[in-house]
Parts: sequence; C-alpha cells; structure tokens
Amino acid sequence: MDDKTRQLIINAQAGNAESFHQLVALHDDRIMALAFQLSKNQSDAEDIYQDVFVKAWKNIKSFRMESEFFTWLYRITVNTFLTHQKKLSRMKIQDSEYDPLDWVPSSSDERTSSDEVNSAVQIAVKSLPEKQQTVFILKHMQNLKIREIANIMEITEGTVKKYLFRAMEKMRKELKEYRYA
Amino acid sequence: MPELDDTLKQNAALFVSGELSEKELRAFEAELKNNETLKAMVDELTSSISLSKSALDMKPSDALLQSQRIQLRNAIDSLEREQPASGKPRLLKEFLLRFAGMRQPAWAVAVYIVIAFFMGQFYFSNSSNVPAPTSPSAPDIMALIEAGALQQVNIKERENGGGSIHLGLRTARDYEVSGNPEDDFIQKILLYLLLNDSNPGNRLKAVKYLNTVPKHDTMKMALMSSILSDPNPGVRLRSLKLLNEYEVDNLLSDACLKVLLEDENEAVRMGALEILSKSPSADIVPALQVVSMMDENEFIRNRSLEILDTIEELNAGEKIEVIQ
Repeated sequence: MDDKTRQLIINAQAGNAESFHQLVALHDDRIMALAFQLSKNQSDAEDIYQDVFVKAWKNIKSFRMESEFFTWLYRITVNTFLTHQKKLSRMKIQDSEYDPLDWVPSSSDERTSSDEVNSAVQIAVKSLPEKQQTVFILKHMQNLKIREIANIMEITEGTVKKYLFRAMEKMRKELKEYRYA
Repeated sequence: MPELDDTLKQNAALFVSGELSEKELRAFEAELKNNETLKAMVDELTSSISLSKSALDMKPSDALLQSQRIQLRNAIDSLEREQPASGKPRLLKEFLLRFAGMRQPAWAVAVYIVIAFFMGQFYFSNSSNVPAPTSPSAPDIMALIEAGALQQVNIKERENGGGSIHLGLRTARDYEVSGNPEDDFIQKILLYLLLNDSNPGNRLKAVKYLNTVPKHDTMKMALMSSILSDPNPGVRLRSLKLLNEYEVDNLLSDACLKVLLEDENEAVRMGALEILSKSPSADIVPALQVVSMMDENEFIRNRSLEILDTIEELNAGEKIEVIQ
C-alpha cells in the first residue's frame, strides 16, 4: 500500500469524509467494473457501487491495514453481490442491460466481438454457478492472483483453483465453436 | 484423440491463468511439446478467455463514475447530517432571485400548468374512459385511484412470473392484483404510485418497472412531474434516466432547465444537464451560462461549458452556411 493511500485511510478513519472520497476516486473504476461484470446489469452495478462504498465508509475503522485496501473493497463488493443477488432486479433481461455510452473497452486491443459472440459469452458466464462465476471474473477480468481471490472470498487457494478449473472448463466447452470468430 | 487426465486438465487451466509454479511450468511445457490433445485444449482455453475478455472486460466512463461519486457524496452527507439538505437554499436560486429578479420564471410556471393539466386529465378523467379491471375478481382500482384511496401498496416481482409483478393494495379491504408492467391497468397504478405514494421505496420500484414498458407521452408527463416535485433524489434521478430515452422537446427542455438551476442534488442536476446536452439550442444558453459560473460542482460547471462550446460551434456552422 502506498503512503498516500495509507494517509487517506488514516484520515478517513478519523472521520474525514473528503479523504474517503479521494480513496473512492482512486479505486472506484475497478469496483464499478467488477460490480458490472458480476451483475451484468448497469442498474444493479450502480446499486452495488453505492452499497459497497457506503458500507466501506461505515466500517472504515475496522480496516486494519493488514491487506491491500482494494482487496478489502473487493471483499465487500463480492459479499454485497452475493448477498443481494436474489434481491437484484431480473426485470431488465432484454437488450438494454447497460448504456453502451457509459462503458469503454478496458484493453487497448481494438478488436471487438460480434453481438453473437458477446451474447454467447454472456450466456456462458451466467450459466456458471455464482462462486465459479465470481472466481472466473476475479481471475480473468480483474487479473487477480489466486492468493488474492482466496483472501477476498475467504476460501482456501485449493478451493479457488477448483472453482476456476470448473469455470474455465465450462467456458471452454461453451465457446469452442466461436474460437475463430 | 486420447482423453486427458484431470491433473493435466487442471494444469492446463492454471497454465493459461499464469498460475503454475516454475517447476510445474517446466514440466507442463515439456508435456505440451509432445501432446497434441493438450495443445488443442490450451488453445481452446486461451481462446475462450480471450473471447470473454473482449465481451466483458469494460471499464466505466468518467461521466458514469462522476455521477456515482456525486450520489455517494450525497449518501454519505445524509448519513453524517441528521437534517436533510432540503432546508438549505440553493446558491443558484439566491442568485436568480437577487440578480435576475426571477421569483418564478415564466417558463417554469408554464411547465407546471401543462403538467398539471396532463396529470389531471390522466387521473381524474371520466370513469367511462377508464378500462375495466382485468379480471372479475380485480377491484376497481381506477375508482380507488380517482378517490385517492390507494395506500400501503406492496409491490413484489412474481417468482418465475416472466417479468410480471404482484401488487398488494390496502384500502377498506385488502386487494391482491398481478400483471405485467406492459398492462395498461398496471401501468396506471405504477404511475399513480410514482406520483402519490408516500413510500420512496415504492416510488423507486414504480420507476424501475416503468423502465421495462414502451415509452409514451403520459409516462413522460408523470416522469417530468417526478423530477420537478419528488422529494427523494433517487427517484428524481431514476426518472431523469428514463426521460433520457425520450426526444427532447420544449417541455422536457424547460423542465430540465428548472431542475438544473434549482435541484439541490448534484447527481440530479447532472442528469438534467445530460438530457439538455442532447438538444443543444440557443434557448438554453442563458441558463447554462449561469450554471457554468455558479454551480457548486466543478464537473457540472465544466460540462456546461462544453455544451456551450457545442452550441457556439453549431451557431458558427449555421452562420457560415448563410454567408455561403
């Protein structure tokens, strides 16, 4: 953790909301991306974003600097997603699950998939059990190490590997026919 | 091709994930050189990850993050302060009252009148125009709406109901009604709840469900009324998001200008600004000039300047065309 983040956390723990908002600005792009990847719905991602940071503000004093701050935020995000998943809206299952103007590709790779491939990926990810899905997204979309994922999800590294393997196997089978798309 | 054993399959997944130790990596790479089945599997895994990344790996735009940060700031401010900010006069309002002498701008009055007219037409129309209840057991909800007698409404989404919702209504007796938001009857209840229910949670749910139905003018009027009068910023914000899908006519533009100048919530003002940016015209220039100087939020000030620049460019373009 760098000195600036550490100092902002100390200030926020002392009740300085401005420092907390600076912490938010340093981390919220990853949290919003993760919330969106998990929920696959912009409206739900926005709800998760708000919940995560309100919980973080309420509980910042319990953060003991023993892990990276983003790991702590990721843990809150994953727990919020898992807790709220059943409550989250399933109304918007048609085309407009997000506003394309609100999202930009993360990588510099300009290649974009066809709608058919995008749809196949969405269906394949949604078909994964929620923990496999979460591990898959944390590993391959958020580029975290297995050790970090274990820490965030509070499970062993062996369990993370098991979920990851199963998720990747399913994704491989589901997307096999789109290999050269 | 021969079937791979589970350990090799797992190592293939870990290899593609960059999670093999150095020793494991050497052993795996040695195996990979001579095993065509394993090679094919690694190719497929790599391809599926690549496809997933190109479909899912997106980051939020700055505008989206900014609006969320503003909303969060408000939520945390509300947590910190016991008293809501509603009693605090807005800087812009003071500015307008003091310098422009605009106690209530004429266009704002016009907006109120038109909205009141449409709302009145919608809710207090002759009952012969009201569609009959959808089933014999359904109560005459429209009559209850007209009498202002709907209260303690409980909205639930039906499990496996294919998007249909369930409404529990309490009046002199309790009623249970189910239907899809597309149903005219349900839509009218949702619009009624949006404009009248005292529970902000119900009003939020009403906007959420209205989001799933085709847009029409009555809904537009109700949403405009919501952005101008709902006390809850979350409801106003969601209504604005829905309004963003409508064409910006003079009425919507005037309502958004009023919100931009007077709403206390920064996220709501920004939502109004985004709608106005879809239809940059000379009519909105004076208000944008005020906002670009006076709004307490830097992002809103900067965004207003950007829209002003766009309008200026458009005007310059028109002048050039005229000269030619």
